[in-house]
Amino acid sequence: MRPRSLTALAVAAALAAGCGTARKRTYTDGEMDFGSVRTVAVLPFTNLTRDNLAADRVRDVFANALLATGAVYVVPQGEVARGAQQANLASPSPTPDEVMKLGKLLKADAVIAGVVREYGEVKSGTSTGSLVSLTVQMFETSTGKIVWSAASTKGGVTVTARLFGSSGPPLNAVTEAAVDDLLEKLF
Amino acid sequence: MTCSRSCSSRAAVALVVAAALAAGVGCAGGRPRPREERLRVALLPPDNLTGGMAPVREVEAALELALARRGVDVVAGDQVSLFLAANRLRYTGAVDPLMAGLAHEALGVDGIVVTSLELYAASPPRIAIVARLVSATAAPELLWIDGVARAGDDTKGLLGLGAVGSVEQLRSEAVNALASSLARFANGGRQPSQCEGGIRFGPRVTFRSTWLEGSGTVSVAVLPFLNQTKRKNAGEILALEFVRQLSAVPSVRVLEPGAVRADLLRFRVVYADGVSLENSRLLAAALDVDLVLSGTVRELSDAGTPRVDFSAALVEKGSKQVVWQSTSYSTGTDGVVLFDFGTIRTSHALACRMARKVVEEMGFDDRRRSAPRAAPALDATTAAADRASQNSAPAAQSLQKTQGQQAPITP
Repeated sequence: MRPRSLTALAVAAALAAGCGTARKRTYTDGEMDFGSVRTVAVLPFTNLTRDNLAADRVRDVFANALLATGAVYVVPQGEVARGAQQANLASPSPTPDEVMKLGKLLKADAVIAGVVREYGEVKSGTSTGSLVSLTVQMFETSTGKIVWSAASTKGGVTVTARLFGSSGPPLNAVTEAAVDDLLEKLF
Repeated sequence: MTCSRSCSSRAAVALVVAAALAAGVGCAGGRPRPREERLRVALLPPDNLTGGMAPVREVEAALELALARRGVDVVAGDQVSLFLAANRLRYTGAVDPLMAGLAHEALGVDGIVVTSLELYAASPPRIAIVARLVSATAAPELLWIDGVARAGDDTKGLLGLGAVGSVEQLRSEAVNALASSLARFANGGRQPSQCEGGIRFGPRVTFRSTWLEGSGTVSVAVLPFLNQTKRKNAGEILALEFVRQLSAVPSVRVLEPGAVRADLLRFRVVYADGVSLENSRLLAAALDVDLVLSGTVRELSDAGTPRVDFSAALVEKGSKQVVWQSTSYSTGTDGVVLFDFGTIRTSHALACRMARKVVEEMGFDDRRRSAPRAAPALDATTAAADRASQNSAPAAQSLQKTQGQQAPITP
C-alpha cells in the first residue's frame, strides 16, 4: 500500500474514533423500578433563553407528550402550581425535601424538573434554523433522589439549509422532536 | 355518562324558543301574526374583544336591522341600554341567570342575542364576529351559536377581481350571514354549519382517556383560556370558539359562558397558572357539569401569516382526572403547496378549524345525531332581505320602517 493511502486511512480512522466517543448524556438509576411510577408532576421549567414563553411552551409539549405515551398520568399544570404554592417552592429546581413534600401534596410518584437552554432561531451566514436544547431530571418523591436525567438538542442550521437557503422545520416541530428524543431515552 | 343537569329541560327550552320563533316569524296563510305572538329577542351591545377601538354601535345597528328584516322581533338600542343601566349590568359578553331573569321581566323577551366582535381591521379589511342566542330563563341555556370570520382577500379570484376592499362591506356580509343563520335555526331548528376541518389543522400532541369512549351525553363548562399572548382577550376568544364547536356535537351540552363566569366570580376562582383540580371540582359541582374544559393560548396573531397556538385539557368531575389533553399550533399557510390556494387569512378562521379538529378528535358520542334535515327554504321576503342586505349600507337605517314591514318566514 502506498504511503499516501496509508495516511488517508489513518486520518479517517482517527476521525471515526473521535466521532465514536460521544459522551453519554443520560443518567438512569439502576436500582429504580420505573414501572412503579404511575403519576408524575412536571414542574415549570427553568428558562435560560431570551423568549419569555419558551419554558412554558416546552413544558406544555413535554407534559402532553408524556401523558400521551399512556405509561404515566401527568398531574395538570394548575394542580402542580397549587401544590408548589402550598409547598412554598421558591425555585423550579427543588431540593430533596421539597420533592418529597410536593409528592405528598400532589400524590405523585415522581417529579420532573427541566431547563430550557436554547429556544429560537439561529443563523449561519444567510441560512437560519430553529434550535431547541433542554435538560430534564426526574426525582423520586419517596426519597427525593434524582433517578433519571437526560438532555436533548435538536434543530440548528442543516447542510440542506446552507445549500438551498431553506429555513428548516418550524420551532414547534423541533420542540416536538427534542421532547420525543427525551421520551425515547426514558422509555 | 349522563347529563347532570336536566337535558330534557334544555331540549324543551330550545323547542319552545324554536316554536315561538317559528310561530312569531312563521307564515299564517301569508298574514303576519300579531306582534304579541312573536318571540322577542334582546340584542345586547356587542362585546368588543378586538383589543382596540371598534365600531360596536354600527355592528349592533347592522345586526338589529338584519334580524328585523328576517322577521325577528328585536329589542335593542336605547331600550336595552336603559335596561342595563337601570339594573347596573355592565358586562354584555355573556348572559348570567340574573340578567336573563331581569331581561325576561323588564323587556318581555324570550331570548338574548350576545354578540362578540373579535376582529375588526380596516386595512387590510378583516372582521370576525361570533353571535349566540341564550334563553331568557332563570337558568339561561345556549340555544344557538355561529360565527363569521372574513378577510378582504379571502376570495380574490382571477386577477383579484373578487377582493373586497372595505371593511364595511365585510361587516355587512358578516351580520347578514349571522342573521340568516339565526333565522334558519329559528325556522327549522337547524344548527349552523361548521367551519371547514382538514387534517392540516389537527392537534399535534394528544392524550385521550378511555373515559371518553361511549361517554354518552355529557355536559361541559368551558373556562376562559389562560392568555399568554400579547393580544388582549385571546383567552375569551379561544374559549368562545370551543363553545361554538362543542355546541355542534349533539351529545354535548355546553353551558352558557355567562353562567360559568358568574360562578367564577362567585367563588373567586383565579387561575394564573392553570386550573387546579380543586377548582375544577368546585366549578363542576356548582355548575352541575360532567367536564370542565380549560386551556392556554400562546399565540393568536394576525400579523402577516395568521398563527394560533394553544393547548386544551378536559377534567372529569367524578375522577378529577384529565381525560383529554392536546397541544395545537398551526399557521394560515400550513399545507398550502400551490400558490395561495387554501390559505387561511384570519387567526379566527384558523382557530375555528383547529378547535373543530380538537373537538372531533375528542370523539364524543354522536349517536344522538338526528337525521339531517333538509335546509328550510326561506320565503321570498327573507330571500329578498338577503339580496337587499347585500346592497344596503350596513349602518342603521330607518329601522322603524322596516319593523313595520316585517313578513314571516314560511317553515
